[in-house]
Amino acid sequence: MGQQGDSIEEIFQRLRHGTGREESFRLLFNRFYWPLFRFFEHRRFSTEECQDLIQETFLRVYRGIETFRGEARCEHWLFRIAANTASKAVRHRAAAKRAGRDVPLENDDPEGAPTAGGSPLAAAAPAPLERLLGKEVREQLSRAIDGLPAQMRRCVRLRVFREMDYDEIADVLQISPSTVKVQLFKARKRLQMELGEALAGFDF
Amino acid sequence: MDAHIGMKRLIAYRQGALPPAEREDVQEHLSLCKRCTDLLRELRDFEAASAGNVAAGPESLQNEAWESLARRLPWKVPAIRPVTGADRLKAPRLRALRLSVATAAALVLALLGFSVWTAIVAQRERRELVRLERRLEEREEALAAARRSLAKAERQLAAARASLASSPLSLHELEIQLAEAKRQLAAARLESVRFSFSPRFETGRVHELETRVADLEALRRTQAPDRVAASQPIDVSIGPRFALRGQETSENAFLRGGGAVNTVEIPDQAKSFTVAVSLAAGAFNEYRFELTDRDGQVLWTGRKPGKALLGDAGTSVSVHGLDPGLYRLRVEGLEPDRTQLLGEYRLEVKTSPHP
Repeated sequence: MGQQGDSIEEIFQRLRHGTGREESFRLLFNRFYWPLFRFFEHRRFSTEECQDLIQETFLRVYRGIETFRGEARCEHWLFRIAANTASKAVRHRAAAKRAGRDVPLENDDPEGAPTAGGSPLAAAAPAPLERLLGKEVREQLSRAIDGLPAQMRRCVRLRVFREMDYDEIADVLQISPSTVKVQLFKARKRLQMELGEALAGFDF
Repeated sequence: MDAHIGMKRLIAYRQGALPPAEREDVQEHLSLCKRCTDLLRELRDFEAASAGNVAAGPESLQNEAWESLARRLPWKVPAIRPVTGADRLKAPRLRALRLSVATAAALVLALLGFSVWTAIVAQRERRELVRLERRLEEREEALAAARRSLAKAERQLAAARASLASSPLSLHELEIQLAEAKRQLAAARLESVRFSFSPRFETGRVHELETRVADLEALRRTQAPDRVAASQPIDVSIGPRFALRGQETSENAFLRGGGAVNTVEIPDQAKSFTVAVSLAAGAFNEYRFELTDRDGQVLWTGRKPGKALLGDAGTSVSVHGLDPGLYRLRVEGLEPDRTQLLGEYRLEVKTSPHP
């Protein structure tokens, strides 16, 4: 990656003006092939499907290059096209399945369970909530969390129900990790005070 | 739960481009929705990957994809798009199947039908593309024209301001320049409305022009009382003339301009008088009347279409709320493309006990 000196914007510029189209498009392809491959792979498509979807994405890019006026960042534009292509493929797959046709797909999981291999944070994450708390307490906890101030409850939800670490919460909410830390610290105190014994043995 | 966050909105959120309230909504939704946080993560990962932080795999895979893609792209294609269906159906797998002659024939027919269909669709798409390209060109041209007229209006305003600052202008000249500036502004505004769907059009410049016209008008108001004495007498002998109905007994039947005072006598209960328009020839599309007090404060304005006045000297305009004192009456002739000052008259209103 990056062995070509041209910026993405320059490549787009040349493509729009139609000079050296094929070469420019090849550069664009090389630049985004692996990012797109990893994106589709992450969505649990097989290698063969990834190849197809990448081609489909670039066909759409090629057709849309005239309409892309540079208001958005190129990679965002590509991401939107790729995500739409993936959704369309999933819909197509579902329709094919309903029609009872043979669909040669592995890893077909409509629920979109966490990525195989898990996140690197998995080790640091607390044990699943279900094992630690009874149904009643979980509901009680849920209500108590809903009653927290906005920023605090968002941090707690992502921490407790989604098992994210500080950095990840900060990234999702676009706030600083130290803010997350402070919010969670305060939340712990408040929830302990409110729920007391019920939460014994549970930490987040 | 609320509807999922759209892709555009999510990207705007990631770029920190959302207004605070909307940002809060997105944060709240994200704290509850796995699908949207997943999408956000994918976006983040894709950004990082596009910046070069990506694990590349075997080059053969990449080359294979490119070869296949390049075959499907129009630059490799003579007149009609390729039978993309053949690629989609994945030839190797097809070959592996043992097909009976009948199914093979059916398949060939289906493929043929599909290729004809793709050709039709391709042609339609190509026509649409040509149409869109032409529309884009037209828009760009019109946009450039709008820009040019805006620039012209700006130049004229600047010139008007500069000459106002350097030399003592007659009020008449000032009026003409102002009218021209207003006309240009109206044209620019119209263009800006026509192109308001284009985010690149600088509506800010229209706003700036508006401010300048307002400045110029304010300047006119402050300068008018002083300048009118020094100004050239305004020639109202050409075109329509105006009279005060019921006041014809004064020395002149028609209103006199050039700084002369026209006496208006009205009953003290009435608080109004009537301007009659004598339209000999060359009627304007529309007439605009404006009554100001000594301080240049506009008390009343009225517009009358020329057609309504033509051939009927009795059509009149009433002005209410008058106390005794000095006033100024302006009359302008309006055409779609220009505004002409027809007369500016000083009036002295006197009240007399009702007979």
